[in-house]
This record gives sequence, structure tokens and C-alpha cells, in this order.
Amino acid sequence: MTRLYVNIQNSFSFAKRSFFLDVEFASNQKRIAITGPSGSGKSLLLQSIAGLITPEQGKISFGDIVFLDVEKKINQKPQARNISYLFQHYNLFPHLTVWQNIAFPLTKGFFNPRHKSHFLQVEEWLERFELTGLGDFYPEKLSGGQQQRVALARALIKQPQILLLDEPFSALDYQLRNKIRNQIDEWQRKLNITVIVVSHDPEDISQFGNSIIELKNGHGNEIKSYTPR
Amino acid sequence: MYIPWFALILSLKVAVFSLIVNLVLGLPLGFLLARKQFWGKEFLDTILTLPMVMPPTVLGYYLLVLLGRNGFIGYGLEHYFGINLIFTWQGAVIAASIVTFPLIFKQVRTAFEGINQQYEQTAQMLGISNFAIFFRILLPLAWPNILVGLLLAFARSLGEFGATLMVAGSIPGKTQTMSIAIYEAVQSGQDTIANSLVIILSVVCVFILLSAKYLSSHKIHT
Repeated sequence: MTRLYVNIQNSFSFAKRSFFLDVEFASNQKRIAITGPSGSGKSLLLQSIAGLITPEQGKISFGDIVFLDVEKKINQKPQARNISYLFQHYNLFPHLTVWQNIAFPLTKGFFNPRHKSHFLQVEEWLERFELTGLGDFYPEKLSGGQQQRVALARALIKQPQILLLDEPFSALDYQLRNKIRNQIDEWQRKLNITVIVVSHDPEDISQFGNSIIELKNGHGNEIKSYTPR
Repeated sequence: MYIPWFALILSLKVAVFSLIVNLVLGLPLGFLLARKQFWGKEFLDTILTLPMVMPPTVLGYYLLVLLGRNGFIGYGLEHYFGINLIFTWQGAVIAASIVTFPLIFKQVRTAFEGINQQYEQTAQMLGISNFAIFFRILLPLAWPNILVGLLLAFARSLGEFGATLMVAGSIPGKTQTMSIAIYEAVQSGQDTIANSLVIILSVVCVFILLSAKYLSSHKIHT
């Protein structure tokens, strides 16, 4: 069964150069790594899957769900795709506490979450990522590793079907990198979600690359697929 | 110390009302220009910034021409609704609003432009609607900057002279604001009145500027 199918074409014009992204791959893996030199379109591919960019041509589907089909005029909003996206710089909301950041996706209305009693699961996630006691702090008071764990808790609390990671460990030192990589590994198994990681770190690729997509100057296809025994 | 309470309260009333008018108009317009792409965007920005560089008397003259009994807007208002804005405090509010609009509008645009778009993308990915993102992310992050604009506009409104005089005139007990009362007091040689008015306005303006400074140094770093 093909779980993730991506076939997109899109031209971008940046300040001084134009760029054409043309990617096709299908994967039935739950751990997919996208790699390639910088400027090869890795992040653009990830943003297309997320729905933050709408390609001019193509189709993206996940299982039975069609995220995008330009011909049939189907284009699900990012909000509807049930994907979590862990950005390179975490993007914790600076005006909200750690607790509010993690509870953020749990309220959909016009107000940020306030009453702790309504969201007991936040405490569990704080505990799981060794953040107990930091709930009332603002993100700027946290270390880089702590910030990343908050971002990860916030991404996982909404129970996504796909977790996208954009160069997730590039801002961390070596030891922290291994630790968080193993935590993501562990949670991928526990929640049985699909993880797609963009990276050029060989260790990320060997750990998450059951399927490896290699991009070169905007063109890419699958170079390795591994079938679990 | 002699305090002409009416002029003081009128000035504050005009400043508060013009602030509300400009917040209602400036917030959506500033947001639109910060975040949306459309044809003629920078031209619109130029037009909306024009009151900042034009002499207030020129603005007042335009308003007089537009709102006066034979003016384009004034005629319609008088004819259909029986409203006359010239020589009223509401006219002073319109004058102050126009003069201070760029201060708020510019500050709102800069405030929204200064927010990293990745915060919006992050919130989108967390399943929050674009409308809710405005209230939960954009407005709280932009607010300290917008507040600085509001304070500056408030101070500018208190000091408004030229446009207000053209539109609302200087009727003591009706449309005579603080800054106009100062002028009248000096003209008629009532130095004690002028002195106390000048001191009050100066103190208020220093206080507002200090508040603006305090606010901008305590902003959330984004």
C-alpha cells in the first residue's frame, strides 16, 4: 500500500534566480528522510506537503486522503491536513508561557488557553519531555534543547498523522542532538505516526531514512526504500 | 493657577475620540498593507501618509471645502441628515483624526511587518484558523508597538492647532481647545492663563512620551 504519494511541479522566482521544483515519489514507509545539498528545494518540498505552499501542478496524497490535486481542484488548507511541522527555529510563541504554548493547539477559538484544569494532558507532556516545573516560564528563559522539547510537545499534543521536521537538530550540540533524535524515534514508534525529516546530517538519515528522497537542484526521487522484515 | 477646565476637557475628549476613530480605521488598513499584496499598495500608503507632511492648515482647508455647507460631503450631510460639522467639537475630532492618522497607521503597519511570518505558519500547522491567528498571535505581538503609535497620536491630538482652528473655529465653551485657548490668551495679553495652559500641556506631553519610551523598551522580543 502506498501511504504517501507526492508528484509536484512548481516554479519559484526568488530575488535573483528562478527555481523549478519537480519531485515525484511514493512511499509506504513511516520514516522518510529528504536530503540533498542546500538550495536543492528540500524545505520547499516539505512546505508543499504541509500546504504552506501550493504547487502549480501535481498531486499529494496520504493513504486515502487527497491533500492536493490541482487537476481536480482539491487543495486542503494546512489546518485540515492534520500535520505537525517542527520548524528549524522552533517558533515558540514569545507572548505565551511554556504551558500555553503546549496547550495552544487544544483551543480553536479566538482566545489562547488559560485555565489549566481544562487541559490535564499538558502536564503529561511536560513530564514526558522533562519540562516539569517550567510551565509558567516564557520561552526566552529556556535553553535551546528545552525550547525544542516544548516545540515537540506542542507538535505532538494535537495527535498529528504526520510529523514534519525541518533540519530539526542543526541548532543543537552533538549530545543534545542524539538525545532528542532518540526521543523523536521513541515517539514515532509509540504514536505510530509518519515522520518526514529534512536533513543533510548522515545520522538523521540513517535513523529516519527507511525511505530516502534525494533532491538535486529541485529534481528528486526516491533512492532507497527499505522493507521492514 | 487658573485652569480653564472646559478647554482642557474638550482637548482630552477630542483626543480620545480621534484615537478611537483611528484605531478602527488604522488597524485593518495597517494590517492589510503589512500582510497582503495588491495593486497600488504603495500608492495607497503614500496617500494615507500624506497628512504627516502636509501643513495642518492645508488639511483644514481641504476639510472645510469638503465638509462646509456647499462642500461635497457637507452638502449631503446637511441636506439629508441635518448634520453640520463645521464649528462643532465633532468637526475638531475629524480634523485631529486626519492629522494623527499616519502616526497610528504607519506604526500599525510596521508592527505587523515586524512579526516573523513563521509564527503564522506555525499556528496554521497547529490547526488554528487564520482569523483566530490574528487575535491569538498577531495582535498580541504587535500590540506594544501599536500602543506606542496610539500614545504619540494622542499627544499630537492634544497639540493640534491648524486644522482644528480651520474646521471647528475658536468658540470659547464650545470648540476652543487647549492649544487654541493658549493662542487666544497670548493674543489678548492674558499671560497667567497662557502660562498655566502651557505648563499643563507640557507636563501631559512629557508624561505621554515617557510612557511611550517605557513601553517600547519593555516590548516582547520577537
